[in-house]
Amino acid sequence: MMLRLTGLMLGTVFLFVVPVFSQQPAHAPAATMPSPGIWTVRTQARFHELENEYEYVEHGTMEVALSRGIVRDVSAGIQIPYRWQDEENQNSRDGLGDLTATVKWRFYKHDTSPIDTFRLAVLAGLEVPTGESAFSSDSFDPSIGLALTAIRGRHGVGGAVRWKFNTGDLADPIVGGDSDADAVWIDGSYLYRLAPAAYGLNSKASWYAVLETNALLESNGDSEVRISPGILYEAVSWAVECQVAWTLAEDIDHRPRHRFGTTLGIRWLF
Amino acid sequence: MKILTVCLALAGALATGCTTTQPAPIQRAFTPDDTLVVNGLSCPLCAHNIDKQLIAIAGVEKAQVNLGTGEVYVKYGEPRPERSALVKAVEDSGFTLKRFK
Repeated sequence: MMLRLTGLMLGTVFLFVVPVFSQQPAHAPAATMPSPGIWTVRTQARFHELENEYEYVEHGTMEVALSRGIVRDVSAGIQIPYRWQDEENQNSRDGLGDLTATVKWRFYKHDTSPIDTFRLAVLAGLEVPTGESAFSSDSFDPSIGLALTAIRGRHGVGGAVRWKFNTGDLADPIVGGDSDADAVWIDGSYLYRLAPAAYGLNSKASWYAVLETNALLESNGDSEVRISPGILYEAVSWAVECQVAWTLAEDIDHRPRHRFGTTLGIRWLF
Repeated sequence: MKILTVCLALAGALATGCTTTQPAPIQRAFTPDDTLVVNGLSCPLCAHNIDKQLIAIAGVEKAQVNLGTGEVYVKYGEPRPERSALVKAVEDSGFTLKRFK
């Protein structure tokens, strides 16, 4: 319990001291990155209500993601998740999840106007076990992916495909990707700039309406599709995001089914 | 349900700020020594990469981005930097330099 409280406190501190990045939805990668020598810090609190055959399960993750531009068009980052879970008829548990180290290479960029752009990036990651808790798989799991970001005027479209090769699993898988089955995420997003209608010299912030869909297919036969509407506010050096998630379709046999989720996040650019 | 309530309250609070107000009159913070025209700036947070890269160049005193026109205004100090350093800063930031104005 002390560990959980400490983790929550640390996470809360990060959430408010540290913050979402550049027209990017909450649950999918984008083909954007900090420039060389620049850091971005993204903290997300994600809450999920799940259910299995016998009970409801509440699962939460407080994740801090650090990213730094290495050279032009290449960035590296690490994601540090602190996870907890409450089950109706069992004790709660919490602890550090596996860390994920990622490298992103933007291999294509086509800028057509002051705002409009089309970018593609490849992603490579490695999930590294912490061995700290019930939330560590004790395995090294590589992943690869492709992300695109297209912005035209007030409209932004994103897409990503990620494949995680799982070599181990959690004793009790909770969310997609926790089991030893390989997992493929297919993400799509649309962002509409609510304000300002047009940018000017004095534009210092933007509001966006966000609609995101996330599909997950696992090699054990499990699959689900979620939809996540939300809102994003971007200032010059920070941003905040809030999205909710519902399940549109699912076929889950190896872990609890997802009912509802919420994501709150904050991002800083240093 | 508690989570949903909190989230809706937050989204409502955030959404109250979504008013499309008339843009304030254009006002540069300084008289620029050089103006760069850049494409692909995307958003205020993205464009902040340019400010940071330009300010890091020795001899660049100030930089300001106009997202509406894609113009980046630069004020020099001493020593006055080579334009090639500015070109590199813009490209490193992940944007496309069209021309110096």
